[in-house]
Amino acid sequence: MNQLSFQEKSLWVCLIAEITIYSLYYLNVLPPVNGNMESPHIIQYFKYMGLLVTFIVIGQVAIAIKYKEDTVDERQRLIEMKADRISSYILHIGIFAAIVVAMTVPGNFWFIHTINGVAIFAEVLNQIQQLRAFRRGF
Amino acid sequence: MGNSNKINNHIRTLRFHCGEMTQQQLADMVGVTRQTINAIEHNKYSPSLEVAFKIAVAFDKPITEVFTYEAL
Repeated sequence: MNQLSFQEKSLWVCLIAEITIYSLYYLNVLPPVNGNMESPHIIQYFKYMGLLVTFIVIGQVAIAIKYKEDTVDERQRLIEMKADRISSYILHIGIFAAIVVAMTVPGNFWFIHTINGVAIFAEVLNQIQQLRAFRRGF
Repeated sequence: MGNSNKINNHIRTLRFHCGEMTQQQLADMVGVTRQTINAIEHNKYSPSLEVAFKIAVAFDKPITEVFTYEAL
C-alpha cells in the first residue's frame, strides 16, 4: 500500500465505492415496474447517492490522515488528462444512446438510467485507465 | 511518452554516487512524487524539460550527463 501514491489510493477508494454502491442501487431498482421513475425509485436514487458521497469522503479523509499527501506533479496531471479524454468519448456516445432511448422507449426510466449508466461507466473507465497508467508507465 | 522512447538516463547510478540518495529525497528536491522519479528511472516516463533540468541540478551535473537521447 505504501508503494502507491496518494492519487492511486484515492482512485482505488472511488473505484471500489462506485462499483459497490451502483451495483447495490441497480440490484434494487431493476427491473422497472413500469416505464417511469416512481417515488420509491427517486428515494432509492438519492439514498444511494448520499451513501456514495459519504463512502468516498470517509475513504479520502482516512487516506489523508493515514498517509501524507504527495505533490500532484506533471505526470499525474498528464495521466488524468489522457483518461479524461478517453472517458469524454464514452460520455458523448452515451448521450447519443440516451437520446435514441428517449425517442424510442416510452417512459423516463430507461432514459434516466441510460444517462446514469453511461456516466458511471465513463467514470469507472477513467479511473481504471489512470490506475493502469500509474502501474504500467506513461 | 511510452516504454518505446529513446531517452535513457543515469539517475540510478547518479543516486548511488550521491551517497545512495533515495528516490524520495530526489523527488523532494525536484518537486515531484517518488512514483514519478521511479517511472523516469525505469524509462516509463519522459519528463518535461523543466523536470529534467531540475534533476540535473539536483545532481549538480549538466543535463547531458543525466539524460541521453538515442538518435536513429
